Amino acid sequence: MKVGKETKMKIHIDQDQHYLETEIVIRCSQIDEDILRIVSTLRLYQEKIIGLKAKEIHLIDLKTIFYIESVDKKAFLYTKDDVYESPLKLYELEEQLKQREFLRASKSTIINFLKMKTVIPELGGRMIVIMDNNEKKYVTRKYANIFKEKIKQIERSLHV
Amino acid sequence: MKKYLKSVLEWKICCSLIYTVSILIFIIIKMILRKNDISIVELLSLLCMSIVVSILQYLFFSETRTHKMTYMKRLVLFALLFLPILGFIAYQFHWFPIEKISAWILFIVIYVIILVIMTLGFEIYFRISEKKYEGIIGQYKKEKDAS
Repeated sequence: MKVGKETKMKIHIDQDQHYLETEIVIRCSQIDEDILRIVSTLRLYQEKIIGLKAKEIHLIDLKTIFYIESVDKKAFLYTKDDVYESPLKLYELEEQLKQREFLRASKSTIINFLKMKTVIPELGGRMIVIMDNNEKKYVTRKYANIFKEKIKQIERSLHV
Repeated sequence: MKKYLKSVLEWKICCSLIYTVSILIFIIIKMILRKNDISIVELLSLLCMSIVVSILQYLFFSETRTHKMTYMKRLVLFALLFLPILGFIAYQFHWFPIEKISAWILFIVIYVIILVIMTLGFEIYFRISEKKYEGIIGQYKKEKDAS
């Protein structure tokens, strides 16, 4: 994770068998972009992600996200009714979410496989994904194989 | 520069594929007509056609370009543009007796038939795939929900 050049950060790990649960406390003078990125990454371990909307911080369940799109180098999380800005970059989200049913569909899009209704192949290798809310997203030829392979894997597992 | 090189590479692959397929089709037609030779002029005519088709294919269907028109509109425009170009190549290289109107009518009919068969074939294949994928994804989601 990239942290601003001017940011000095100490990391303390206090290990004790008497602690019943893991607790992370961040002490800072103000919540800036770097802090949000750190919290967002930590939240991913709880299947949640941080999203910003109208200067408010929201905790979003990963299951509710349909897709993530990058616009002007900013990543936006699309749920059924809302759009949130993520403090993380698209490539960071891709890295963190690839074990959680999220697949890269194009240079600017990551799709939640569990929010897909179907996939329509097209001439030239491209694919159209129809989401559960009937929204259409495109999978470019570069990433189409990832989707095909995922579907093949599922097909094999369903037949076992 | 990177985008340009990518486009050139894509066009080159497409052109090579079309050339290979067109030669194979040409050989089959020759075998049906019981002719065992292919002239250099015929090979050149196929090369010309392959270059033109691959350029049109790039313009209308390539992923490296952004297309504002729908797929169907692009397909129709592609077909309308390709027919006169193909006719010109056929005329220049004497693919059939060019003075006979019946030969031209047959040429257009074959062109339309091939286009319709290919389009319908792909459409049917894509529809079947769509239904199959929908079933697989639906089943997978049910299993995930249950677990």
